[in-house]
Amino acid sequence: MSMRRVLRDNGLGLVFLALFLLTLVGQSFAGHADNNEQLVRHGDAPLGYVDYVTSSSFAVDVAENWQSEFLQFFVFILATVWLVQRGSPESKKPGDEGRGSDEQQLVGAHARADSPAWARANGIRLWLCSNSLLLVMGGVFVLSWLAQSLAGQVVANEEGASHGVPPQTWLEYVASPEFWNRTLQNWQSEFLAVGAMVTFSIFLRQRGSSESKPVGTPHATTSVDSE
Amino acid sequence: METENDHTDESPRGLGTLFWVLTSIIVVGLALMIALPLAGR
Repeated sequence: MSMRRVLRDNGLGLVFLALFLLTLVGQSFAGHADNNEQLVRHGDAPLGYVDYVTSSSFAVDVAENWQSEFLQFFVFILATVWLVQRGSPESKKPGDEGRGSDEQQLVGAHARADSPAWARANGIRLWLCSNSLLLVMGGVFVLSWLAQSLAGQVVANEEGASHGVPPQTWLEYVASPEFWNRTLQNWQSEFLAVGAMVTFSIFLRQRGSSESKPVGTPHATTSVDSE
Repeated sequence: METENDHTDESPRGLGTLFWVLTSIIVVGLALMIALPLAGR
């Protein structure tokens, strides 16, 4: 396979991988500078770059955004099994709610020769294969939310110590207003964006995008393939 | 049942590379973000 072909076939994945890495590096530089400004303001010594990117300060800022993004996709994937939005290309068409028949899902006896091997299996392997996307998105959400809570606790206790406040346990931190403020400010924006995408895509179009209906499709048409 | 993707004859080679690169980044990132605060960093 030529390199040109590899790049063309994987453009979407590669561009987002590159954007992620660039913006993460950007965040690390901006976060380092911001952290040092605050340290100096408190009369503390500034931190080196490597010390900063391996600190809980950097980890909590990365993790709180990760958890909300993976929660967003977890909830959206789960919700779109059971709920529909008439007119939205993000939705199945009304009447198609639910997990679908084995025939529609190409599993068990209906699997094709080139189906994933576990689509042909039974029991736990078929269940894992059938729910793998939700399981992985949910797993990354839970672990990054855990990371946010652990790193956030360290940062809150460092901050508290400089003001003579006794350290919080992990349970005290996850019940604290700071933890929920960091958490919910991210969740609200994710849910707004998903709701906007689902609703706006009923009436608005982007010619050529897989996230849009074709420009001339009527507003009430939900799925171009099925109606 | 014919689906829109039936015309593809792509081998999954190459697709798997991107999957594992991203998976590795996420696993390493999560491991670090959990381990560093536990180590008191």
